[in-house]
Amino acid sequence: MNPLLSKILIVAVSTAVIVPAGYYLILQQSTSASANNPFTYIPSESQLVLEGHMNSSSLYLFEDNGSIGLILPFTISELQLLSNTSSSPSGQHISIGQYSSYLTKSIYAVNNFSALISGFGLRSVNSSLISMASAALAGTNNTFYATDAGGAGMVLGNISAVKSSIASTQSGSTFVSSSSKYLDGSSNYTFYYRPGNISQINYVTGNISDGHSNIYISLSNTTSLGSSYFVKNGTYNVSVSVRPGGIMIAITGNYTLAQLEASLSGYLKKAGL
Amino acid sequence: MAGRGRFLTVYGHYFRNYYRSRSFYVMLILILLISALMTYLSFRYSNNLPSFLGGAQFNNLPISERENIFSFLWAFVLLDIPVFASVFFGSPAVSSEIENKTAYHIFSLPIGRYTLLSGKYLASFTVTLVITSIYIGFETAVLLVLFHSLPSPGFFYSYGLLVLFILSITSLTFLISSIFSKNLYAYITVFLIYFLVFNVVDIMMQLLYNYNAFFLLSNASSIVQRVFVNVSTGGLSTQGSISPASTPEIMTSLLVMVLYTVFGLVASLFIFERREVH
Repeated sequence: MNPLLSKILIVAVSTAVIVPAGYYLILQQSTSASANNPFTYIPSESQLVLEGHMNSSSLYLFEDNGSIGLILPFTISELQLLSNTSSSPSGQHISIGQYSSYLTKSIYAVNNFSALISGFGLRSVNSSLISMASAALAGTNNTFYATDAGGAGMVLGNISAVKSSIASTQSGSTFVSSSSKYLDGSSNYTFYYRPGNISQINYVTGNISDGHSNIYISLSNTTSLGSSYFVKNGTYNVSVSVRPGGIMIAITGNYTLAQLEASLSGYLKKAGL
Repeated sequence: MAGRGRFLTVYGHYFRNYYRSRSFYVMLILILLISALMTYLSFRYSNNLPSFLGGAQFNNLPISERENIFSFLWAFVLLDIPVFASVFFGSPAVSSEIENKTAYHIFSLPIGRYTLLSGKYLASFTVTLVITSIYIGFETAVLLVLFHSLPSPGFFYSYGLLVLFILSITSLTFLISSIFSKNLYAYITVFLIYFLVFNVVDIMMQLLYNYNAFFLLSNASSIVQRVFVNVSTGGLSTQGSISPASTPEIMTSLLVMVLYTVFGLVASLFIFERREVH
């Protein structure tokens, strides 16, 4: 064959492979980046969104119209596998089965989810996150509902939370864009809260970590409420900055998350909450 | 002689050269040794799997999942074998012809350089495939004895992806070999790129940008093991899942390997065409 013709043929064939493969790869990456983002499965209108990180495990919680849902970093098939293998100290087994489908996505019913606490060994899912998830969902009964959440894992929660997650993902009305605005993923815990019944407050955000935490309250009234002040409390310092339209509370010092949680729960008990 | 006939002659000639070479016998001995060790490990370890996974709660693991985990362990050991084999067979492909001046004779033959290089590429790919298939043969026999069942569909996916990985790593070694005039430089460069540069880029992307460098061949090749259990054993990430890798993840790795194969081979063809013997 003519060398020039061979060269043209090689270039043509390789281009015919490289261009569509490269295009499909870029497309695949952008799709999986979105499918792997847990916020893709959180409705944009959620009243509460919490992101927790502990020893490389992550947990995402949302509350939508009083229904609580969680994004957990394991898949439905993993849960199905573990339903055969793991049990809680009390000998209970988790069980999972197809419940129904909603907007073409399957919904599964999960029983005895708390049995999962002792179930995970292969991957580093922190057991305290599982406990937290169980505690957040504990309520009316022991049955939760779950649906697949692509590369992010699964959505687990009350049936209405799972359905609203599916609906928001399919309509594109998700918390993805708000997450970067309100949440700081580098904190141990970060949250966004929008109280529906307090007209003076737009939203509250908080970032809680060892040694440094802050809470910001966005006010609907932009009038200045006063000046900043500072409180020193032996172990840590609390500074409150009151600005037009918002209050920033910063807590710094030599404290651990456990100490902060103990102090907060003490205050909440005193306040009767 | 027609084009196809010339290609087959070149392929047959280099294939014979490869399997009669010392490199082939070194790789053959190594693969038999590794296969024997893995066989021993599999039979000795088959009852200790729950402790590997995290405790007695995995005693009741379904047979299919136990098989997946054993296949994952076998694939974990297998992953570096095509790299070593293709470095042995592919790295000297062009550089040795230049270094040993055999190119004087080869270039004067009435055979096009594209035919020469592609015949040699296919021969190098075949011997690497033969070496790795010996290991796969051992694996199949062990799984058959341990679990009394034919390999799962994941096993065939893994084998298909392994073939693609061999094609892509052989392309990369041919590309590097066509750049250098000395064998040693070609050997070292492939090892440095695959085991050092790729690792540094991977760690850098993970630490600085929390980004999975999916475009690296070393990451894409891990799909050979991740079709069983989706845990990547390279890099710093501890994330993973006991489930097999998802279809989009398989597709991503497959496309990356296709791109390495085509780009590496075409670039090496064009560089080889312009090579001069000094």
